[in-house]
Amino acid sequence: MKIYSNRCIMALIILILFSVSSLKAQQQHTDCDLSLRDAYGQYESADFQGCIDLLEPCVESLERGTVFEAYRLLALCYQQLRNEDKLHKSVVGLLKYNPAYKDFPMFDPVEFSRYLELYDVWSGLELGLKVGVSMNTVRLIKPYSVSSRVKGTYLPKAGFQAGLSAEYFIYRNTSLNVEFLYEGLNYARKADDIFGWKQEFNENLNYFSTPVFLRHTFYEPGNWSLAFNLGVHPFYLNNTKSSVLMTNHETGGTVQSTISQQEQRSSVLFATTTGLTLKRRLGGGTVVTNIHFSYTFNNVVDADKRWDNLGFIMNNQYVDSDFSFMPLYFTVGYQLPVPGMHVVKKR
Amino acid sequence: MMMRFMNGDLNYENDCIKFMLKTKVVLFLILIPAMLYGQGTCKEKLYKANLLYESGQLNEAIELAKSCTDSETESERWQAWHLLSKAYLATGHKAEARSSAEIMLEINPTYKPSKVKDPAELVRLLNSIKVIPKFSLGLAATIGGSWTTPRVLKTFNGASYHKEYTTDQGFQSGLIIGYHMNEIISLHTGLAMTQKRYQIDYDLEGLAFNVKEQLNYLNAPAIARFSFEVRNKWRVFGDAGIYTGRLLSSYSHFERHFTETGLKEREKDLQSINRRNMWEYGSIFGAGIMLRFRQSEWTLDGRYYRAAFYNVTDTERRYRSEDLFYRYYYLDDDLRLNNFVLSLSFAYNLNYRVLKN
Repeated sequence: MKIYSNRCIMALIILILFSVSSLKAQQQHTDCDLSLRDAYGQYESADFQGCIDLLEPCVESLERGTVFEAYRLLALCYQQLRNEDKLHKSVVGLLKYNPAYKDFPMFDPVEFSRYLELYDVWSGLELGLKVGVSMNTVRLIKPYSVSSRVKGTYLPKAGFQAGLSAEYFIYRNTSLNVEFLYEGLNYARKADDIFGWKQEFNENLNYFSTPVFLRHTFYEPGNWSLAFNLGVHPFYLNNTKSSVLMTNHETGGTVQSTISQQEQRSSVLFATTTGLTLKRRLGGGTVVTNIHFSYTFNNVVDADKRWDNLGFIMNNQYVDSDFSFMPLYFTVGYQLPVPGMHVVKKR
Repeated sequence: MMMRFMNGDLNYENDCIKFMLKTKVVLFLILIPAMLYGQGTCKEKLYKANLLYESGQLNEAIELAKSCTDSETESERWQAWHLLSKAYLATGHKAEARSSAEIMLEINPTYKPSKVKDPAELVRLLNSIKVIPKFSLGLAATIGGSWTTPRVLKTFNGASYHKEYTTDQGFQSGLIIGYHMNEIISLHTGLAMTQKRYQIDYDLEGLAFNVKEQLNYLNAPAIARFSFEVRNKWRVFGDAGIYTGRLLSSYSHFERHFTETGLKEREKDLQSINRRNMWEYGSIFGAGIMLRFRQSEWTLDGRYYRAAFYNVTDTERRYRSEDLFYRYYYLDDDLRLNNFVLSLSFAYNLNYRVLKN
């Protein structure tokens, strides 16, 4: 009974302490709301220091949607008191908590409005999604074939690209971009006459890729902007599927075989990437459309393992040549600014 | 007069100064209204109008704010309508206050009233005005999956056996664009990658065959959605529409199992796109629930894609796959693929429209 009573008392004490602390927090919250109202009164009666004394202790504990109002009032007071340093800090606070304030301001004195015009606000970090299609062209480095009679032609094929994008603004018009993508690069090789058969070799290679590039905006009319990109584009092989379709010239009959040639492929490809980006601000974010081109340097084929699948090679009269990829991408995406990461700079 | 001034007649000079001062005062008194109402930028006018509003001179505030409602700057137009809605409320002109608030919200639909500076009556007025999304952009992904049910139109067999079709699970994901005509009806379209999978089993003289088919389509639906609010921010909806799709890739996996010896032979990832027709069509029916959260919408819905007017199999190439026929006694049937998708989607509202009375 005694132990039960002691536990009861402990629980009661903890409950009381918790209630008191939340009441205190709520009271402080309510006190700070009242401070903002009183501070407006102080400002309107030209007691600028009184207004500052009321707001300064409270400004960060206000409800998030109201903090910018407190910074605005502080900025108005500091402007009256000709305190340039504190005025600047308050304006930065105002624009960080409400980046769209200059678009939809409260009724500010002209002097204050003119002062705000000296500031630029832009998002420091944007995250988004992108999807797109690619047209992959093969660059032949060195041809290989089973016999001199076999002459093949590489054909470009469409693929896809999808994933996440992150854009970090180093300066207002220059950003560092990192993307995490999954993409499919495809190609075909056709040979018209292999001992009375038409041969069509198709390969689908799926890669993870992490392009990293710089983007510089050079033209910005209104809500649009045009930028140039340059960077690197590494690919990491996930899987590959190859198939050979043989069609008999006389009968039209087909024979197909498939194989995974992942062992015969380079696991990493390195490329440079360059392109153009057209952006449009829409809603709270940005629609981003890209056209860019990647040029891979190294061989898609692991040359040391070219002849490892000899059975497939002899049955289908097909052997890998040395080649690399040159995909052209068309992508579209949407990016949203990360809250709290806006940059405020005085010109 | 000028001559007397220039000759330095001191008395006259004093008279002149007095005359000029009096004239200045008169002029100033005449010009104050002009200064207040006619001159200065919109920024200056709106600031003055706000001061007039706060000092109770409502009609003067209204007149001054009206002069900025067609400013070239959007923020000034917004401020003007904001002030007009407050001033009209204070003067009891409810209809004018509402129409001013509607215009203000058309310019800035996500405006959050100030607890300190906006009167409670304005807050109530703003809350009573319906603002709905106009265009939305979103992503959808399947949860649970996409289930494909083949519908055989005509059977073709390489020997005497019966094919058993089984539903299999794939996925669907894509982009959605929505346009809201009003509070109830919205139109949606987009692009979705749909993976359709099914299996075929058949037995023949000591052999058991299993065929797994996988078809990847790029679908473009066109849907009309009818939604109704059931609770604060929660809505239920029904969808109806049509779709078309283009086949991007198609693979077959064949397996034959010798029942006596237990031996299994497999061929995986055989490209079957050359045996298929490239396009599919059909109708869509669905229903779901939606949660509106800030500037976004989360949706959970089930949709049934009923195929129509096409055949998955390219009938002209049915007999060309000699290896499939001789090894697996297999021929493609004429069929269509119905699909049920359970998906979760997120849409971000790009802009809004105000529903006016």
